[in-house]
Parts: sequence; structure tokens; C-alpha cells
Amino acid sequence: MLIAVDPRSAVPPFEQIRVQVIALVTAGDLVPETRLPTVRKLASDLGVAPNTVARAYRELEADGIIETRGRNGTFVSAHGDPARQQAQRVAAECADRMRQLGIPVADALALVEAALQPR
Amino acid sequence: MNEQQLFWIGIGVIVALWLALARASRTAWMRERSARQFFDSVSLPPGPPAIHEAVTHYTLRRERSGLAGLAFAALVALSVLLVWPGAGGSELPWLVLIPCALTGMAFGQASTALRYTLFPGVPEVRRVARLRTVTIADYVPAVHRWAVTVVCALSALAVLVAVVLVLTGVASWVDLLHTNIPSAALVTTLIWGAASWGERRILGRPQPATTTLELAWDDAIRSNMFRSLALTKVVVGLIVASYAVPGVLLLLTGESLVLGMTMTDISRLALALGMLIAIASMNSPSGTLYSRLRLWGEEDFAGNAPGGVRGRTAAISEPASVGGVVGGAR
Repeated sequence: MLIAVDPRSAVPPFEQIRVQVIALVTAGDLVPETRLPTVRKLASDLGVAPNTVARAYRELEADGIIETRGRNGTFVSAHGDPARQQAQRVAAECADRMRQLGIPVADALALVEAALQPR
Repeated sequence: MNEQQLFWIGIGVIVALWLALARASRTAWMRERSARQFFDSVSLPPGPPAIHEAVTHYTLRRERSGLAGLAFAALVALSVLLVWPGAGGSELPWLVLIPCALTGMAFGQASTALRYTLFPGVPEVRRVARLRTVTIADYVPAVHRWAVTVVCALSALAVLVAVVLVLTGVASWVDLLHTNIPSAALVTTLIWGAASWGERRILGRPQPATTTLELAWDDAIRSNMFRSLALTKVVVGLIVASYAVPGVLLLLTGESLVLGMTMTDISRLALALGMLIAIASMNSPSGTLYSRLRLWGEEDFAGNAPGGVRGRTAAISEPASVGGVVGGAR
């Protein structure tokens, strides 16, 4: 369960970290209760500023993917598959908005499917 | 200073001179062979020349620090002896020299790990990192960690019993001081404390790596260091136990003979046997390959081209591909 950060990438480093953590959790490589490295350790390993890792951790925590337990450290959240839960929330919000806009279900599905296609 | 102490100091000086001569006379070929033996023992491919060079350079630097630590420890032991002629009594080589030599060498090597990283943290270069907290359990097998705990518990128990015997009036403080238990316990506490502190500090040190193979090599070097510290703890603990257990029996029974042997004979036999087992076990393939198998499993490190990364690693350039994490390792 390794991650890589490329400082020359167009993607900001915090986003690279965030996306890779989500991918590892979704794939089951990072199981719940896994203790993540400290902000300072991961930052020094990856050669980025501690604030970069802290921001990635903050956003992951806000999404329910990881949780901070005071001085015990940061752990992968144990409450089910947080990425899937988050996706379900986003899908529900999307469905509500489609209904408000009066878009038929078939059209809404076609629009979402088109949006999911790689660009 | 009695004749026996002078004899052991002489032995120490001869060994130090021999080590210094052996070090000075090592040719490039011998250094290369030593590095190659280390490469083979950890079951990792040398990889590109940069890795080979970094590992060779680091192991040589660590070896130098170890010898410097050994020399420093020998000086400390000698100073203790000169300032306090009765230190260790007739058991000087066991109580002072051996723990000092082992501790000095291990701490000298640990100082390298505390000051330098295996690979330089080059800025603006793609870096790889492990996304979980590693602990000492990832580097030292359970049996060796348990050995440290058992030896520590045994020594602590024996020291505690000795103190209780004195407090309950079964023995006097003078008797206790004659057993060398207090000085051995003090030295061991200091050494264990320093070793544990060193382990924590080394675990918190950064592991700058641009490829999985570099990270694996860093792990191998760390594992070697942690095993050395664990061995120091076990050996020093065994020495204390070899003093404390017979000392307690002596305080309890006042007898120095068990089955026709003196307590000292029995404890020295047990100590020598324990040290041999500890050294053999920690340098066995199961000890040297433990972290390799635990942290990297069946990883073959194919695709670690110079400056490159493994084939399975997706390039991190666009958001869609960021999810292509460096899988496989644990």
C-alpha cells in the first residue's frame, strides 16, 4: 500500500494523496482500522510540506474515509466503505437536482452515463 | 588493578588493534564482497548502480560508526575501571567490557541511522511512500521481540526479589551490593532506555525513496539496525539475569553450590548459551528476511529501472490516473 506524489504533475500534491488514499480504501488494500502515518512522517517521506498532507487528511476526514483519534493517530474509518457511502450521497443529491429541474429519469441516466465516460 | 583486570585490558587492546588493522587493510574488493554478502542476505536485487552505490556507501559509513562506538565504549569501560578500580570485581569482561562493546557498536551504527537517510531527499522528484504506520513488529520477528520481553521481565523480577529480600530483612544491603545486582540493573536500564529511544527515533525518520526498490532497501537497512539493537537488549539483559538470578539464590540460601557447580559457573554457562542462541537466531535467514517478507511479500521489484518505477504504477499526471496507486507492497 504505497502512494506516490509527483511534484511536476498538474494535479496538486494534496489531491494526489487524497485520490490515492480513496483508491486504496475502495480497492480494499487499506482496510478499516489501518493506522496511517503521521502528517510529518508522510510529508517528509513524500518530500512535500506538512500542510499538504494535513489538507489531504482533513478532506479525507470530512468525507468520512479516515478518522483522527486524538494522540492515537489517524486511522482508516471503520464505518463500512466510506467511499461508497460518499458516492451514494452524491448520487442522491444529483437525483434530487434532476427532479427539481424536471429531467426525465431516462435522460438523467443518459446524462450521468455520459459524464462518467473518460474525457 | 589486579592481574586479571590487566589481562582483560590487554586482550581488549589487542582486539582493538586487530580490528583497526583489519579495517585499514581492507581492499576495495573486500569491501565489495562484504556489500555483496549483505545484498544476498536481504534477498533484494541490487538494482541500478545508484542504489548499489548508496547501499554500499551507507553500510561502510555505518560500519565506521560502529567501530567508533566500539572504541568510545571501550574508553568508557577503561575510564570506569581506572576511576573505580573495584568495578565489576573479577567479572570485568562480562559485566563491563562485553556490554560496553556491544552497546557501543550498536549505538554507533544507530547514530548513522539517526543522522543520515539511505537515499538523499532530492526535491522536485516523484517520491514513493508507505501509507501505513510501520512499527518495530514490521522489522523484528515476534520471537526476538518476545526474547527481549522475557529477558527483561526475568531480570526485573530477579532485581525486585533481591530488593524485597533486603527490605524484609532476609538479606542486608551490603549483601545485595556484593552481588553486583544494583550496578548491573542500573547499566541495563540505561542501555534499554537508550535503545528503545533510538528505535522510536529511527522509526520516525523519513524514508525518501523514488522507487519501490529504494524503499525496500531502506527497509532492509532499518531491519538490520533494529535487529542489532534488539540483540544488544537481549545480551545485556542476559548478563543482568546471569548476575541477578544466582545473586538472589545466594541471598536466599547462602549456598553457592548447586548440583556440585557454583552459581557463577551455572550462570556463565546459561549466559554463553543464551548469547549464542540469540546471535545465531537473529542472524538466521528467518531473522534477516523477516521484514522483506512482511513488508514486501512476493514482490519481485521487476521494472525498477534506473530512476523509474514499477510497471503497475500509473503515472500521476491527470486526476483520472492519480488513482493508480503503487500496489503490491504492504
